[in-house]
Amino acid sequence: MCRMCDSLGGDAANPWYLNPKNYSNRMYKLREPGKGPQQAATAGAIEAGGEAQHASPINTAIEAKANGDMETFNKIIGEMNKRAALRPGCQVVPLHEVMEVLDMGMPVAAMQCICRKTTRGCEECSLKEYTGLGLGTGMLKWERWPERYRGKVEFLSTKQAKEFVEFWDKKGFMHMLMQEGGDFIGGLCNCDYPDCLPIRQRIDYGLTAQLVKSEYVCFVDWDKCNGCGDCLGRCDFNALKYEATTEKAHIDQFQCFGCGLCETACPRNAIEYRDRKQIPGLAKVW
Amino acid sequence: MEAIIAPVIDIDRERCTTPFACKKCLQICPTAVLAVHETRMVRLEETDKYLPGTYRLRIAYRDKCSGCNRCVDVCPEDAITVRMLEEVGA
Repeated sequence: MCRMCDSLGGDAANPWYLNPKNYSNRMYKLREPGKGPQQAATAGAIEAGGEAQHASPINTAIEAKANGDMETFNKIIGEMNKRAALRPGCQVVPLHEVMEVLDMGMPVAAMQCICRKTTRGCEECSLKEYTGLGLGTGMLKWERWPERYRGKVEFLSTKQAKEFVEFWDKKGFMHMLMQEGGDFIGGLCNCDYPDCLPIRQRIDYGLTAQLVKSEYVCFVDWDKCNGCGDCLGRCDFNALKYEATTEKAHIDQFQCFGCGLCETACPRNAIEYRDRKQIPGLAKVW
Repeated sequence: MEAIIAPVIDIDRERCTTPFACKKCLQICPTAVLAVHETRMVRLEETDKYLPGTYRLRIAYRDKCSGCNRCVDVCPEDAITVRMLEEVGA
């Protein structure tokens, strides 16, 4: 059981993000200093403030690694992981649960992805280009500070939002719920490697809390898989390959983040989700 | 094991003045080493990307640089140099 489910009312059947109470305005208020569970976590040297809070230590670590100084790199990453252990940044959520989340979280608005803008210079200025979703009552602050949302926003109905996510899923983006280190749900990102900051920080630099794996692990049903390869190329986590020996798709259970991109691409439903917590060797692999 | 030392990337900011409008290097890098950040905000709004100095190119993930030089080749201003450390003389 992860801390989020522990403290935010998740249980064996439903993870925390499927608990409707977590989409209430109260969640947003928890972020204010001195009012919620976040207080203890912010006591460290880090100032609150989204992505910027990691800017300095992670950049020092990357620079150390680039200079071949793995000792400093490991030390900084270790400290960051210790500090962020109770403050997950994002969690991977498979498409079928994204649909349930969209039924609960309102309002929903499409907006630009800041990671993609930063790393690839993508300018997303209209609904056709937006790849991110702002989710929950936090979006209401758009009314007060519209200028904060560069590239503007476009509010969507639940149906539109579902079509939006399905569109990007088809294109090959996995989905993650953004918590930005707090207990609230801030957004639903559609991302891939290498432009996505959380994926990158997790895979390249081992910042485990930045991107938590989903509640599931994907398994290939080898009776159904005929090795067509439609799923190949969709995995962002190097978990999926074609196994020449068996002539079927192969998923590395320990690499799999349970995003389900392979599942949504499979024409034979040969890939199934299994509850991570029910598999002894994976229950603690987040 | 010998430490792997990444190439040193230099950006001549006198020449690279409008990286967000140009973005050629951002889009060509195989490992997405570079990043662009706004430097000037007026009332929380970004200023014109064609105006020199409103955005700044940054080396965000130098450890991932392979030294393939594609950014050097693509830069219209010849603002980027990529060198291995022995060439730098350290």
